[in-house]
Parts: sequence; C-alpha cells; structure tokens
Amino acid sequence: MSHHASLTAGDPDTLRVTLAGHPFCADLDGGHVRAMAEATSEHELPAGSLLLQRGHAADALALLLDGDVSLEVTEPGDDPIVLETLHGGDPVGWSWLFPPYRWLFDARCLTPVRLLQLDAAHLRGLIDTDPVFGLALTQRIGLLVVQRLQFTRAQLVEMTHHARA
Amino acid sequence: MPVLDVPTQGTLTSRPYQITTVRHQTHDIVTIDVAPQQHPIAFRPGQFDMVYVYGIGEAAISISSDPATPGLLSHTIRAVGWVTRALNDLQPGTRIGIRGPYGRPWPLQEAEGKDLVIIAGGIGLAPVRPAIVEALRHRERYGRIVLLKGARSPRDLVFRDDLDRWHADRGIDVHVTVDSAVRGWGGRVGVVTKLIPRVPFDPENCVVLTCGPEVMMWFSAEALLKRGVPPERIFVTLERNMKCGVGTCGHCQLGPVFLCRDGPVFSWPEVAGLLDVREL
Repeated sequence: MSHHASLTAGDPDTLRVTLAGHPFCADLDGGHVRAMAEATSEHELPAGSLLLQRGHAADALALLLDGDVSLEVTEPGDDPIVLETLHGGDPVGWSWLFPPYRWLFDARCLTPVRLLQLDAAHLRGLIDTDPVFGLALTQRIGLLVVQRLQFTRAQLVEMTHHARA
Repeated sequence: MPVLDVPTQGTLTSRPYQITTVRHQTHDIVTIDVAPQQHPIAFRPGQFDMVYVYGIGEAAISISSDPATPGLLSHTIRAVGWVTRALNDLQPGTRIGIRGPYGRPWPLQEAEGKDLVIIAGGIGLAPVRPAIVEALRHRERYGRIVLLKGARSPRDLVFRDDLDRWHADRGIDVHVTVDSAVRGWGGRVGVVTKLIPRVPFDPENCVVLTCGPEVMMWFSAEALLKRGVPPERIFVTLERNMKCGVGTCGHCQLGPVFLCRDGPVFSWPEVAGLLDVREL
C-alpha cells in the first residue's frame, strides 16, 4: 500500500460502522465485520499518489470510501494505459488473496482518496481459522472477479465490434 | 417558408438540400448540416432520413438536430461504406437528396412524469440527441434526466460541445466513460454498462432510451433489468441495411419486423427474442 497514505484518527467503533456500511460488506455477519475491523485502518491519499504498485507486496485490501482511482499498466518510456477507473464504494485488488501476493497493476489516485485498508495477513488468518467467514469473503471476492471479467469482456466485444465496422 | 408536417411513409421521392456546414466530430465521423431547397419537413426525435449522394447512392441516417428547427437538418455520419465515405468528403454548398423522415420515434411522451435515462455508445449519441434537446426544452415534464455516454476512447467522443454544455447544465446528469485511455484523460474508464447500477434514477419509474452497438444495448438491457427497470420501459434503436425506408423491399427485415417501418425504435420485449436468433 502507498507510502503517501496518511492514517486518519478514528475510534474502533466508528471504524467498524464505516466498514459495515461499505458496499463490499453489505449483509455480512456482524461478527465477521468485527473480526475484519480489528485489522482495519482508515487512510487519506493525495491526488497523483500510487495506491498500489505493480510487483510490490499485496499486503492489504483497499475499500474506497471517496475519490477516484485508475488501474494502470505502465511500460517504460510510455504513457500508462488506464484499464479501468474505480470509485467510492469499490474494492481495489484481490492479489492479496492468492500467492505470490504481489500486485499485477498500478492503482493511482486521480483525486484525493479516502479508503479503508484491511490487513491481508489478518484476513488470510481469519479465512484459515473460520471456514464460514472464509466462504463469505471468498464469495465476495469471487463475485468481484466475475463482475470485472464481465465488464472486461464487454469492453473487448465493443472494441472488436468497432474494429469490424 | 412553411414547415410541412406530412406523413412521408410510402414516399420515395427525395427532395434537394444544400449542405451549409460540415463539422468533423472525430477522425471518421462528421455532422453535416443541410438546408432545404423546398419546404422544411417536420420530424420527431429518433426518426431517420434516406440521404442520397447523387450518382453514388443512398444511406439511412438518423437525424441528429433539434426537431424545433426543421429548416436546418443535421445528420451525423461515420464513414463505413461507399455512400457514407462520400458523405464524409462532401463540402459546404454541395447539393444532396433527402427523403423522409421515416420510422417510429422515441417515446418521449411515455417518459413524461418519469425519470428519463439515455444510454448512448459511440455514434449512438446522434439518434438520441434530438430527444435530449427536446426533453431539456420541456424540462418540467420529466423527473431526473440522466445521460450515460460511452466511447471507445476519448478521441472517439462525438458532440463534445454538447457534452460540455450539458455537463454544466443542472437539468441533466451526464456521465461519460471510455473503453480505454491513457493518463491525462482524467475521466472514467470502463464500459458504459458499469454505470447503470450506480447512477441515481428510479428504476421503477423511468423510461430508458438506448442507442449504440447491439452488444452494448444487450449488455445495457441486462443491467437495467437487473436493477429493476420493467422491460417494456427499455427502448432500443436498431439498424440494418435499409433501402426503401418504407417497409417494401425487405432489406432491413429482422424476423417478423421491418426496421424501417416498424422501428427503428423498439421496446425491449419487441426485439429481445429476435436478437438471440443467430440466423436473422
């Protein structure tokens, strides 16, 4: 996670309520939210800063509260290609769940961003020790991956359609 | 000059128009403004004309101008075939032939008292532009007016001036996204359908007008249905190779319907099944 992030002070109860109110946690069991909140912190990042960097350790799940983030691929000497933009209410990244736990893309803040950061080691520990929690969390990540895959396929179809015309 | 409001279905005679302005929208899309050499003919948002480049041929082109000014018609054209390439190369002063308007228009009256959601992909903004202009002129008749605009890339965005003006207008919520971009774009990147679950409108009390590539409209309809929009409130405009424009020749036949006569605007239940038939 970015070195530019500044930690926002907040009491644990407020943090838990904020976490429970994020769309990613909708309808999640209260006990599971409490367990996740134990390793959750709130951060603010300035526009232009890198939230995630390709090749770096995927050590956290980020849940965007406010602001816009672009998912980018950068080639040396060239402008980054923006794959997708993410916005308040979106989760960022799932590489923290799968070995080798490294980010595959950059994520850059297009605006000032406020987010919740959930420690990946803590989440993986909860998955190992609590199968019910593990199923609930991996289903959410699975749904996220499916949605992003569907959007990506729609992008591909549209671009292919345009190339054919 | 008086404006004629005559039924043109069945009419196969083109009338002369003169090009007054050519506006380059993108590298392969132009908007040509034309003035009638005879009486202007009224049209309704969503209708199309058969545009004739003398000596080359005709193409069906949606009308993209303000229906309140039928004396100045606009057609927005992407160069994809012989006729549309020729149209893209025409200069102000050139005469062309136009017959129409043809086809079923957007159901703007049905949207009165409801939210009006417009989804446009690529050049698909052209056929819905008259509906947007008309709806904004009678703003009090509608709830929220929302425009979701998608394009392949920032350089493929059409009607940029309109988008900027509408963006500044409190009467319409404009959300623009592109399929791909490099840094510097600053806006949203992703398919237009991604916006459907998150933009504010009342799914149970809205009418949706959708225009773009058929795959985009299909994905949009899926997302709209998932959000709870009744299928009969989703409208799409289809295009096929139209020739006569009056439902006689059959070139634009899609199963039991002729797009030129029965469309080009259809409700989703009217065509959803047809779009799944591979052989049509």
